[in-house]
Amino acid sequence: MDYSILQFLFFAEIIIFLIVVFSQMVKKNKNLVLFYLLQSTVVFLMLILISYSESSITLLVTAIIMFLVKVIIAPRFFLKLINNNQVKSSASSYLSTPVTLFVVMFIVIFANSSVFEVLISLSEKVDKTIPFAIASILSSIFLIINRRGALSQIIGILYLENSIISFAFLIEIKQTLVLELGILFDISVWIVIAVVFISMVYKNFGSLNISEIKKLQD
Amino acid sequence: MGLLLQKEFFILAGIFVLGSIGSLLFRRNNNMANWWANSCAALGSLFGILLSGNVLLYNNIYTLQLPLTFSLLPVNVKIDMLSAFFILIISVVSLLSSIYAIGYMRQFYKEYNLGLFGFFYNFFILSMILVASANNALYFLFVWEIMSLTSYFLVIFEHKHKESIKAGFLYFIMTHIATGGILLAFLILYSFLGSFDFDVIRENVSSLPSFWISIVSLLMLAGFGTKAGIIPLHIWLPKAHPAAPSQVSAIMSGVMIKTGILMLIRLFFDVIPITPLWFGLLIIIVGAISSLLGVLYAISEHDIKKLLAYHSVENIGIILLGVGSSLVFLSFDLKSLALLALVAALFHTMNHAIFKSLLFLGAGSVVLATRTRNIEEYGGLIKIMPQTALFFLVGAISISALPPFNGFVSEWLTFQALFLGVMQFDIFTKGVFIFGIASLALTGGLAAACFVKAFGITFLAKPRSQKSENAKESSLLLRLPMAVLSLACLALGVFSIFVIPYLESLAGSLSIFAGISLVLVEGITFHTQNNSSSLAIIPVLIALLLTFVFSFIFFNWISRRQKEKIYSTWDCGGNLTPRMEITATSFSRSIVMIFSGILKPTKQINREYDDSNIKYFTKSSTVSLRMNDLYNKYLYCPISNFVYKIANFLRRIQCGIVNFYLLYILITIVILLILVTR
Repeated sequence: MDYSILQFLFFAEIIIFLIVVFSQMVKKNKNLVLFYLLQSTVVFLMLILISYSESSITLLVTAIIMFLVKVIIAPRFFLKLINNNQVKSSASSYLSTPVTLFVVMFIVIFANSSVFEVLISLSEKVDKTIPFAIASILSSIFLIINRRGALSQIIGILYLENSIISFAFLIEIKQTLVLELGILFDISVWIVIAVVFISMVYKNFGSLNISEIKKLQD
Repeated sequence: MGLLLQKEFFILAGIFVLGSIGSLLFRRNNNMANWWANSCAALGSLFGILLSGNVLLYNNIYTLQLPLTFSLLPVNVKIDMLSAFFILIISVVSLLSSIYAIGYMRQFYKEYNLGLFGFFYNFFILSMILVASANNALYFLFVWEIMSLTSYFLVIFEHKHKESIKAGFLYFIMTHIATGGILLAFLILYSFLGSFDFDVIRENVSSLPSFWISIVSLLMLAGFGTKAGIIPLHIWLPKAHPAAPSQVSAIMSGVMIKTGILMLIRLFFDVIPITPLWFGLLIIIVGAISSLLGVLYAISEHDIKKLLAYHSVENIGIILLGVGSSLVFLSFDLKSLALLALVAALFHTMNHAIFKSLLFLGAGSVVLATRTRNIEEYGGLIKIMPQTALFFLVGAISISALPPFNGFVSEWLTFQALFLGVMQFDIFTKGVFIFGIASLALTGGLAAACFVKAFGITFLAKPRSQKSENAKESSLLLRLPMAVLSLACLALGVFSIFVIPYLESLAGSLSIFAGISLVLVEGITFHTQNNSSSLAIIPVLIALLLTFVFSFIFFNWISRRQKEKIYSTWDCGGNLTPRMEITATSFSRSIVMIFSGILKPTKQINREYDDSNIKYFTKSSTVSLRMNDLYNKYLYCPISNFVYKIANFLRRIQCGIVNFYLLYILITIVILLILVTR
């Protein structure tokens, strides 16, 4: 990989990370979906660039199918769900915005600590980029933990999946085409099930707030 | 020969699998399922006998490593002399129990699904055979778990009884705690030696630090000891064995608990034969306590199957006396004495399997005929079920270690091993051996007293209940296996002179005894280091026969001129009723009172009066005697309370909110990452 591609990967990874950070503060579900669309597009561009630099048809096919699933189908599903059920506003988070940002800061420090030296050493060419990927993964998990709304949790899981994929490509973990397609198929099925499940929960309980649903159980 | 063994092994496994699947297919027709399951189990067991016989007679070690296995579960089978010996015992008992089951299980046709029973029954027997032949710890744990699970389902077969479900639950918990201990021990071995393979462990075990050898030994003893039923880890045994159908009780008590003994022998004499002296002494103490307390609890028991289950604890104790003595002798490099003690343990293992399964099958026939397990409701069955009574008597004599039956010879050998220990060592070690001898002597006497009670109250005098009066002799399918086992009890006793050399060569096949022999000369006369002992079982038999014949002749001679007159028994002016007979409770009461310090009996008297205000005229009174369960009170209840408190505290973690569970995952990942990269 030449220097310009590495530069692009660096910036792409920063965008992926920043999207996760901004999502921590966003309250509207629609914006969350749009952020996801943007993040998926960046991951798609990353894959396209890597496939170009390695002249890999396999990666190209994977990238195109990923584009279809994550940039077109999944956001459409979610936007339709939001419009049909009028779930415009996402439920609040457990921590306030300043505390949330404080935790994210700790995550960034942790991602840059010596704990991950082994992972960073896996690919010396992108050693400055990998900490951002790790911070994206951990921040995505934190997003799922911090959010009360089921929809934002599901989108958080998709952020996590994007972060893991970008991290895997940075350290050059590549699978066979069949396996990559299998993973994408898995994700698309998961999105369909999650959306159906969410709409059923919303119809029955009138809320997607996890705490409220728990109270109904009692 | 190897190819022949391989064929036999696969045919054997195939028959059991066929038996299991076939039973499920016939689940809608209980009669077909019963015949299919038990016929396949019997046929499979027959192949088990052939397979083990082949190995034992020709000393062909059979090994098998399936090429298609994946690394996590390597199928590694090895049938050496020791494995073949246990497979032989498993197969013989399973064969006879399966024939018995064809007749016995008919009682359940209208109540339970025999297809499901047959499925688990066939897999249970197969898993025991696979356990005996495992040569890799992971593979062993896999088949061990199958054995535990299938036996659990057999214990709860009569699931309409709450007692069975409770017993099954206790068994499930205890067996998995045991498996946890065993797993931990193997993981420790793996962390040092880098392999689960028994052959690799055997080669490199000397590099294991002595501290870890002690830890592994203790974990193995606790794990396999729980399965074998040593005190105080036995609590599942008196509940689970009686809950299962009688032929399953026979297999569980006769052979399944022996898999624990097999593994103790396999590990401490073959795979890791470097245990310290204190460990051998500990096994002797555990054996002595188990044998003594086992028989004491048996004597106070009035449920016939529970009584027999407690005798299993006793006999496991006797086997452990032999195993422990052998380990102590090995620590002092007295190999021929160690060989003798191990032969005693192996012989008693075989004998116990034979007479205990005979007794359980006999008890099963009585329970089937009377529909009760309460001894107090039996009586007079010798007239109704004479053949069953005879078989039960043979079992009772054998387990009481009376000549010329098999139990006598193996206990005599155990005594010899213990006596030789007393002659060898320092005062402390001597003391442990003397404790073993004293407990074994007391156990023998108490076992005889217990079976006088069990046989006398069950078969003699008059029937004590309508159930006993209405009883009928068992069918041929039930009597035939009992007859074979009775003959085996006698044959193994009388012809022990031929059996012991076989057992000697079997124990001698373990590498630790290479080049060592007992120098057997004529019958059971053996010379060990500076010692010799002998037992002439055939002269003993002849002496017993002569005593019997002369007593008979003498009695007839002195009463030849007396005319026989039949009088009715003096009945104090009333009618003789079964209520006047001595009960099992009153029979055992004097012994229970002697050992009241251990058994802690409680007595509760309930009286009803004609007039509750004037308590002079009693309408009725009942006395109930119970034994305090010391293990529950002082061991298991405190542990259970402690666990309950911790669980209550930890419940707070279970808040029911998915976010918190994810937070736990994140914290765990972070901690693990820090630990890994530290």
